[in-house]
Amino acid sequence: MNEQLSVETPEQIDINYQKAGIGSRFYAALLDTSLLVFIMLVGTYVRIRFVTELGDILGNWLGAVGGIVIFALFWGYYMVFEITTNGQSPGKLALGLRVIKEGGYPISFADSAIRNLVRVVDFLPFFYGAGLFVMLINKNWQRLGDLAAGTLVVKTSRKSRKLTGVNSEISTPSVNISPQEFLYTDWIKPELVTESELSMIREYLSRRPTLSAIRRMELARTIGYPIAEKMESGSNIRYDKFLEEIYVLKTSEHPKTVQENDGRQLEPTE
Amino acid sequence: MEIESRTAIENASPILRPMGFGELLDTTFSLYRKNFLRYLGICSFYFFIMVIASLISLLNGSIPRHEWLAIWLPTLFVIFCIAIIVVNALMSATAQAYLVGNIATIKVFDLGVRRFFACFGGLLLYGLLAIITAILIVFPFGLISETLPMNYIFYVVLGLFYFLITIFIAAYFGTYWCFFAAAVLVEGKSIQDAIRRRRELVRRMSFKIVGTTMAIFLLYSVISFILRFSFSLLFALTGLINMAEFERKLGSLMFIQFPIIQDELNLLNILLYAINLSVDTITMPIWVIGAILLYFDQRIRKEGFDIEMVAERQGG
Repeated sequence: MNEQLSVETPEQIDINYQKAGIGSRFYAALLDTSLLVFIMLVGTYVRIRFVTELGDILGNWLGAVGGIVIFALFWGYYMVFEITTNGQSPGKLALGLRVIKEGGYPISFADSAIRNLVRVVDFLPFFYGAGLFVMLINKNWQRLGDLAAGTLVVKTSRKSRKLTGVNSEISTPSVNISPQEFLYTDWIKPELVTESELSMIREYLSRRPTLSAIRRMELARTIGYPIAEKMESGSNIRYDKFLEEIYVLKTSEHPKTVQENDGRQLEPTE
Repeated sequence: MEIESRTAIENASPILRPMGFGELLDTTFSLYRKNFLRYLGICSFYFFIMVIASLISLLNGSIPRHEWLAIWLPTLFVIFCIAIIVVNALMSATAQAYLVGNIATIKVFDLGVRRFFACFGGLLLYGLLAIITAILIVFPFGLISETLPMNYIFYVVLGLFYFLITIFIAAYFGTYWCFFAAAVLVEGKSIQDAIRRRRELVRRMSFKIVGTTMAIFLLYSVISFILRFSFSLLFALTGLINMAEFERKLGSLMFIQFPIIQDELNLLNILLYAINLSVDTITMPIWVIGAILLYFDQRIRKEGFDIEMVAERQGG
């Protein structure tokens, strides 16, 4: 379900994008359409309220200008935003989407013009019926306009999200324990902890504040028990603390530069 | 099923993680598209029972009223039960597709039938609560509105208010039932435990969750409407049905409805009926998938379910 798209640049660098599907694009389109309708309603109000009071000649001229503005808005809204904001209309920006070329490049004016002119065909027979159908059968969720222009819509980075996921490198838990507070360092063997176990511990520690106390204990035990077993530990362990210590030892710059003090407490060596 | 899914987790293709709003909707469609034929197969039961019900509905008028009711009321009950079983199967199928990566159709139907009474009981409970809440909210406003001077704008505002309140109450208790049913089907909980689980997962986030459910349902309704309208318009444009008649019938395409033939039996009615039923069958899984993904997303956010799954996989 993690719909990744890998693009190889001419410099032979792979760039991974996450494809945007119907759901997010629908709400982006809904936001853009709402914004367009709002602008047009304001325009209509101004025309009724003010322009008609300006007399025939001036009123007609301003009415004609208003018509041109509405035409330009309807056809130019997406183009202007996609060109000026690197493929993001306000709706796409809100949903974290971006239009790019199939090769991963930013779109040009011509690309944007083509994909937005073909929007009329996508709209047929009613409210993006054709576009919806084409998106459903296209593996990259491209509508007809995208296919014509060679563009696709992708998601922008998830870096701003609070919760990221086990396989993410983004989460950085803040674990503030001094070596004096360590309980299990005498038998913890950091070298036995794999990278995937560490990323799991990292994710657990960063999401710990959002979990209930009972759930925290359950989850810490689920993660910690197999690791403790590998290290041939004792049975009476506070797994939450155990995972904290593993994380600190494993991520510390000199994890092995701790030495035993009184059999239980440890201090870093100078 | 959770235990089964855990043993099969080695084959699981998706990466479980907390999802944002857009990602949840996109994953809904990814799952739908990836397992389209399986979902269609499950929904075809609903399709067949509705076709049979429609044929029975044709008897209306040709037999005495009491005989008609004696046939029709049990038919409605059977449709209701089949619909619950199909939704149960869709929920289980989505859980399998999300956690394991593939759907075992027989198993999900088996589970849907076995857990039928629990889900049915839950539906009655939440349905009753929804009706009571609606009465408690709408009734006082009805009394107040009688004392106020009536005009056109007032009627419009009041109508809109009742409409929004009804939608919100339906979404609120509909979401609760979905979480309840998911706990029953995915975690194998009893009715009492499932109610508790629903409360745990929704606590302090009910408005956000109900809002997301409404967004999923809006998307499903819009897609349904687009498909209904597009197919009907194509029939009208090709001359298969009369354009004027089509325009007259536009209203019947606007909302998801109980597709029973009530009007006279002509080509337009049969075509519109066929379109409505086919679109219902095709699009039905969308909201179920969305609801189940929302349930898993809550488990991931509130309970670290994704971490637990990875830990159990690594722990062997």
